[in-house]
Amino acid sequence: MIEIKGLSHSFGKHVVLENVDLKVESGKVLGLVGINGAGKSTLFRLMTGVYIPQQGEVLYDGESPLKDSVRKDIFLLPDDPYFTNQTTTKSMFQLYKTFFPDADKNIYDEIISYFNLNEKKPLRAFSKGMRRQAYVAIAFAMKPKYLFLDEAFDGLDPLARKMFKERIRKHVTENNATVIVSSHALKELEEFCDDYVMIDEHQVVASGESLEARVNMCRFQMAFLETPNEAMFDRAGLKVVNLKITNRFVIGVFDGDKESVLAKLQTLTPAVMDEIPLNFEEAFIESLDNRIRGV
Amino acid sequence: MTRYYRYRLIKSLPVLAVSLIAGFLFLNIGLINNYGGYYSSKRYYTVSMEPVYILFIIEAFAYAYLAFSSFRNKRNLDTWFSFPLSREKIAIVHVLDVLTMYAIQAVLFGLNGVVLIASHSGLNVLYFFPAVLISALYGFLMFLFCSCTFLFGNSVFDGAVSIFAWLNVPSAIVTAISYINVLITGDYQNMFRNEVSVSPYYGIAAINSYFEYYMNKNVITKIKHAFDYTSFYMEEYKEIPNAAWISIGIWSAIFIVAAVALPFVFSKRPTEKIGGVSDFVLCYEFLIPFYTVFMFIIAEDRVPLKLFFVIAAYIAYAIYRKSPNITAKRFVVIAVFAVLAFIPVFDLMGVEGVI
Repeated sequence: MIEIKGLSHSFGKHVVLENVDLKVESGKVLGLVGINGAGKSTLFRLMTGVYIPQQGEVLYDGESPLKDSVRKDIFLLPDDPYFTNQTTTKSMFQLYKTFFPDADKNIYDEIISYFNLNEKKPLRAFSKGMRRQAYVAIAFAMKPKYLFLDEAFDGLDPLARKMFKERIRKHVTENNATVIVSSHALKELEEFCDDYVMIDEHQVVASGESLEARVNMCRFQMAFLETPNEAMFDRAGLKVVNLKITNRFVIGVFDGDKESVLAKLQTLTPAVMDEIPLNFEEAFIESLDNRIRGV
Repeated sequence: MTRYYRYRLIKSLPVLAVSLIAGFLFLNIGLINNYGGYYSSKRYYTVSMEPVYILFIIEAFAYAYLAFSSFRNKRNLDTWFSFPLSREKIAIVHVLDVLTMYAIQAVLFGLNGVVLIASHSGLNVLYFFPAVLISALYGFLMFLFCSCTFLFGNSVFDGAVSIFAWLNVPSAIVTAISYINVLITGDYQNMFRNEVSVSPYYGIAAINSYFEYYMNKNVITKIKHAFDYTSFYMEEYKEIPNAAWISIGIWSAIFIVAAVALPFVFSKRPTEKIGGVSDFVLCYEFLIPFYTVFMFIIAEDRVPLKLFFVIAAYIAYAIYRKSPNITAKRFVVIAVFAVLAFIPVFDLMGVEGVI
């Protein structure tokens, strides 16, 4: 289990994280979300020992990630990994293998051949997505107990993303590993993360299995006998977040709890009305948008 | 740690190859000097250690850069500092890697030199190996110093500035003391008596000259006989001068402090500052005021020159902060220097007049 206690970190006067507490159970896939500059990468660096915490601590089963005995179980795949002009996928694999003696060459070969990468070609000659594929192969081959993937899907095509998600699941199952993924591809995260953590304004503002349940917002689809317009929803006292009107059909996202929204919508006498669950991305946007707009 | 050390050794092979090629080239061109030529049909050959110890000193700078520049590049941090090896151990492996390169070169250059020297009559080959080993050891110790001071900076450029600035700190201190001493004692004649002792290059050059003398002793006698002439440098180092021992002593102490500090500097400097402003207290925060004070002392009471150094200090701060806007704290430092520039303190011309 990873435990973060009272973690704070600043860059000069700029506070990035403030008093962060978090627990991550083993064998889970955790999605780390937040807007640009929220502190996701900083949290990753503090969790993997790249940064030394200024205040608070990170513990892996009670031990600091600065200890060699813990570090051997941690793998960080940064959003912009290191390579020189001469670095090839093969040479990078060899570098990592010196630190991870249990690295599985078969996993590496399997992923490299799946993506049809030339492992002897310099990484600089690869596209961003191909480089990502190469590092994905290295990351899984090291079989880390704790795998950190920063901006996990950045540059990957849909097919590569599919493979990547399958691999993450397989890695967790086979190694009882914990995978922590940060990404702005929220739909992808929703598909395979067990839990999520949302960082905003230097702190963990939400965490758990469902972000949607924590958002005071709901979505309805309705059909009217006569063509509706946006003004009638305002007149009914509804706070419209998003409204899509197609002839006599409406899909709307409204602020407020389900009961109060439903009561107000019923005053508009729709012919048919159903609730549609919000998705992760909508909940994320709504949560942060309200905060940014000061709602 | 052992696996990473092996990995580093393999990765260092191209660097070692370049070092060896350069070394063999210097050695085979410069180790044996030809004496005679125009004035005599007979040629005399002497040994010059310069190709060896100068190469080892140059390597100290180059190896410090190669060993630690990756850790001063912001883009590499996530990868390098997340590897499952403590920072202290990473630093130690990089140091051991360089030590290995120095050891290999010492042995191979030693063998090459022995063959070259032995193929010329009259030269004493016995002194060559000790000279090479001492030079390699000194080069390695200097590498530790360069590495430590390089890591004071948060970027490769600032690290390089830090190396060269710190190498000259002892000389600057002794020079400043000389100026002050003249003011106090009026002893203008011995003003720069101790400067040579604090050059990091003098001690090792003197020791090599000592070994050169004993390698060349017989030939020097013949040259003396044939031409009724020997150069000052040929005869001077029959013994190692006290100043050289002082130099070696001072710098060995400094190098050892740097060696002990290196793993701590490497591991304790905040990673998040790398690639940014080098605000470590032992980098510009110390060096800019230090050198401004030094310049003020050697400028004596020449106000325009002092004001020029105040401007230079401001420019140095601007480069260091990567901005022409300086903070209030630095502004106060500049302002204090600007005021001090007008206060007469060091009029050595006047002292000379008294003498």
